[in-house]
Amino acid sequence: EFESTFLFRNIDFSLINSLRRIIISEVPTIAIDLVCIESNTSSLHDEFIVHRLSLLPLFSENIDEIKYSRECECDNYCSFCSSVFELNVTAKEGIKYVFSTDLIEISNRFYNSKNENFPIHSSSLFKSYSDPKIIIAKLNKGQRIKLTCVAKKGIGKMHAKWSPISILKIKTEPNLKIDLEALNSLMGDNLKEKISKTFSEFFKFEKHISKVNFSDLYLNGRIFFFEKTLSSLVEFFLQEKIDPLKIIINKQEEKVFYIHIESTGALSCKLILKSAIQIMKQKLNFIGIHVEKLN
Amino acid sequence: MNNIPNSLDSIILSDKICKIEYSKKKENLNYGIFKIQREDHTIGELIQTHLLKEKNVIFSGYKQIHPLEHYIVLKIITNGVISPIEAFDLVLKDLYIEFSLLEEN
Repeated sequence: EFESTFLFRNIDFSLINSLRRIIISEVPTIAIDLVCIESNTSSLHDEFIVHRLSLLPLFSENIDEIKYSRECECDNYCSFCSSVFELNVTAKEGIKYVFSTDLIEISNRFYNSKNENFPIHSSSLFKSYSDPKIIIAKLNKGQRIKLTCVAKKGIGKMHAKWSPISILKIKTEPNLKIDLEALNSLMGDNLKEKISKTFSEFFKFEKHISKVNFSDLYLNGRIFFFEKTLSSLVEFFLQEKIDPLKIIINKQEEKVFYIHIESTGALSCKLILKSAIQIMKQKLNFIGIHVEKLN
Repeated sequence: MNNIPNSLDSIILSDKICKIEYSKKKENLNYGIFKIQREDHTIGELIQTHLLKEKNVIFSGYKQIHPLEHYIVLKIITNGVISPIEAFDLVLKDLYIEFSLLEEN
């Protein structure tokens, strides 16, 4: 669920492009912003550790309830706009790794906190992530790190640590259609059996009519012809010496776009898309209000 | 000492700057220039391509004059049936509806 592909139909490319820009830079998340170091005797210098800390993805699904720190009525930071973490690790015997799960939330000591924020690999998280824990630093015997840090809300435009995604791919693929009649007329029976076996998710071979039909999955719209299957189909046709152009028709009336999102774990992919669309609407609304004032 | 510009400059609208400034050049033609503060290519390209699809708009273009100055300039010329402001309004409403449809799915 942190890596998914979305399919769009009948949409202009400029909409997809603006959605892409908003996903990268204007979807808000939480990241560590202020660090106060008490003691650091490890082999990495202060700024190094701070930089690594700020890039950690923190669980931010309840981001709507948190305000920006600059808009909050408090002085520096309070429970409505931030959360405080603490890291206190000493390597007593031998080499020790400092993992992201060692970050403990101590907002309760500072103020009555309503939010529950934690790094995504925290053990208190009810969902279990299969990814390994993130290493912050490595300590030799006798070294220690002790610091407190404050996490705030922000967007990717301010600093890249607040961007919710790690990879974003947008592909446009023309809608290709397979002509079943040409397929059935050009191929002999053994070939039809072969094709329905190799591409069993897409084709069904019906012996009594000796024709190849689309499988139920394809007709229900659960499976689409992605690039990989198309290329293997074309290879298959070329091997059997059938001209693939007669079977695969280019249907260019509807353009199909794929958006492939890999998120860092802070937000799930659906949430990212949803918040991107909401932010877009807010922006359009805001401009619309000002344009009406001009009138 | 520090050359880094304030990162919040690109986002926040202070009270002294108004969001959109409209200036009309050549009083007889329907020629409107909008200067929109704190916006960039994300919205600019979207509005510009949708304006071109309107029937009554002859010319529309946008540019960000310098990447370190956070505003875009949008030019619209219409053929007289509707004014540039109305064209802008129409496009914004259309876009809002399209995104609402997207959200439902």
